[in-house]
Amino acid sequence: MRYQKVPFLLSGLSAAILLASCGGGSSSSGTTGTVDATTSSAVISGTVPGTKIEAFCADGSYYTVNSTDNGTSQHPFSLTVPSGVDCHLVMTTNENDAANRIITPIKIEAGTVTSSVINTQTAFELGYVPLELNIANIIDTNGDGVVDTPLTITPDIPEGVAILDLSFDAMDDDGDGIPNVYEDDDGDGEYNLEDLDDDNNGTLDVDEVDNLDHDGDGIDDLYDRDDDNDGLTDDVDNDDDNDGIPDSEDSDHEDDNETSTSTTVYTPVSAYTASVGRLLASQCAQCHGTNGYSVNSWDSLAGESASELVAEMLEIKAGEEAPIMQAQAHGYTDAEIQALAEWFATQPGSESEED
Amino acid sequence: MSKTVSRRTLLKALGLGSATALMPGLLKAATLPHVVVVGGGFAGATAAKYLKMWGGTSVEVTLVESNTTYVSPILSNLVLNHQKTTSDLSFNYVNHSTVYGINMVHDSLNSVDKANQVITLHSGATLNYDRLILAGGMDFVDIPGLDFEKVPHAWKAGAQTNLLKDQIDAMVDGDHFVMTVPASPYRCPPGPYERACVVADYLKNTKGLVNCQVTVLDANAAITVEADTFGAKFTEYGVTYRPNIAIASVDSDARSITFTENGGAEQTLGADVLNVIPNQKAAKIVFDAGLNSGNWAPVNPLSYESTLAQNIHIIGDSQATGQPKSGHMGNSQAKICADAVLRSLNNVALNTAPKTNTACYSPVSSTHASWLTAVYEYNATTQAMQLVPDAGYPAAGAPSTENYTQMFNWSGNLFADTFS
Repeated sequence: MRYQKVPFLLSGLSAAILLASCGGGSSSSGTTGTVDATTSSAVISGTVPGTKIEAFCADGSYYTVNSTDNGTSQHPFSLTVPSGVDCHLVMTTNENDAANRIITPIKIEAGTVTSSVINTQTAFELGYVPLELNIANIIDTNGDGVVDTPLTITPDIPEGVAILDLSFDAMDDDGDGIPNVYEDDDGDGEYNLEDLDDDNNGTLDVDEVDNLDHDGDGIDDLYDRDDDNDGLTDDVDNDDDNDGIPDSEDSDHEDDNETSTSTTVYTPVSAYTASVGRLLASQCAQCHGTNGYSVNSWDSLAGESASELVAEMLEIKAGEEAPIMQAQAHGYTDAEIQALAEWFATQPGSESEED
Repeated sequence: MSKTVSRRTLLKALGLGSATALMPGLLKAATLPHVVVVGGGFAGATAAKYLKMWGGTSVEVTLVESNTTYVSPILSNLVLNHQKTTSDLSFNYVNHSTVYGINMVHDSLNSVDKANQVITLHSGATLNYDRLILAGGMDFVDIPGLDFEKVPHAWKAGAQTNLLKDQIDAMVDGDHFVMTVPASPYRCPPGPYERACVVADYLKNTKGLVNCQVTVLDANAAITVEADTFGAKFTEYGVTYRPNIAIASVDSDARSITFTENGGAEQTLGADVLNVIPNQKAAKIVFDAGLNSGNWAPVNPLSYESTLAQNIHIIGDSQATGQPKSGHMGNSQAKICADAVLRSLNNVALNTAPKTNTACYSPVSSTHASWLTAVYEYNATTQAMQLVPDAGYPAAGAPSTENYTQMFNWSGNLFADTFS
């Protein structure tokens, strides 16, 4: 089995995400930035006043960048996040000053939904983000530097961006918009990410026997592409659990989340469209692979012309060439064969042999 | 990481909950619909994958499965004759999580609150659902005295498969292998006969134990599928086939089975290796939720929605449409169900002409396999699935080495369509 890492994306699709973030409570000038998305990732950029921007994503990946001081009050930044994956954004001002650091999880209001879960496959501009710079102005009950209530912003939501109100969010167990890593579970004034003993039971988190989530982001290591949240996915990280022992010498680094390339292509879907041809075609997948992409020497059907597929099916139906396929072909009307063939023809061609 | 007091709990206590908490009614309509799938076998894993592949970011999908690894029963008879290992047949849910964005929850279902559409897991966690899909496979009907640790069924793959393999490996010449075939309907119709052939071939032709006996005790009146193929192989291998068997009890320590034959007096047969595959019924979660009628769960074949409860769908072995119970068929039904669920969430009318299919390659030795296939359609008059008429179903192919090779193409794409 190969792991595929690119969900719901058209191969070669290039989407741009514009995410402008601008800190400074008193500033009123919004700024913008540009973002490029490749098949698997999107670059988020914008300008802010001395801000660290982080993204925590549902595949366990973690991304961070510091804005660049360009001599103005608006520092540009650029952050790459995976496209089509649920992510939380957190922005930290005064990030190098522990006493005055302000950590602000971001929520987005989109129509009737307000949520911190962003899933984007296209250009997305946040516009002006009024981050607070003065710690005296925030409400932080336990003094851990994390604001008690996420900052809600209301950017325009373009097609391809989904703000999701989830029933189940592993990264934010209680659904308050503050990711688990920035919660302070034991109320000791240190948020979980910094707290080496999240539950204050005297056993360090790394020594907890049931610690299957080394980085505490809510994603079990089994499904976490970045087990230690160091920004390196496990397949390029030589020390997955960040214990200082290279994986090659570490018996329990849990490097089971390799990234690999895949030829399987998924159509981006932002809303459901019923399709009789697709449903019929899906019944071919048991033997010919998902969306008609066979993983072995049996024929791939994706991307073949409809007329060719129909002709082939009718030929098989009449002949003796492929006994089990002949038996299957008898089960479908000519109209059904036409409908499923037309759907396969809409799929990008596969690399397997044409016949 | 254990949690003691969460920030949310604290804020709630202080009356500072989020807007969502304060205005649930107002925001409910805009909340992403949540489909919870319980069971990560061929039916459930396929349903979860296709819900996200087709529904994308318009739907939230959670797959509840107790195990992090799934061992396919398909091809598992080839573990018994050392052509495959259970690790060759093992799959995980990493793709479900990282490729499709499905929430993976490794836990098991405790109870279903149908009125409030909430399920409770054994950990105590609760999940709200807009649609619930139960794909729990099948369960066994109890047989007095049967202890699976001593007399394996090996009908759910994994440790049971290896236990039976080890017992077969320990057989010496002259030993007797006795297995039972459950009454129809049961999971994988050709499977028991396939197993008898594979084991007989392995004992006699691979291990050279020509004096070993293989006996098949069948609850049915005759071989249920591919009778020509399996009948001929039984003759070739010298397998003793006894139909119309009703099991009374099993002595698991003595490895003996007591039964009646053709309604006659009880008799007991001893074995050196005893493989009892009991009669079957819907999964326990279906019974617990009160969704069974008799041994199986009645559903509408257009959607696999239970006829006994709204917004709960049942796919795979547990449902009662009369289609064969198999991994291939579970995968097939899962797509009809996923499409129907997405249609209903989006207020689109159900497809009224669904088609499903089944295909199965059965090894009968370490070199030969046969096949069986059929296509099913919906009959609007009977409101039931039926074999497409006048198409020669079920169609079967005789054992050959070519089919043995093709078997791995079939299973390879089926495995990938379910788990990749």
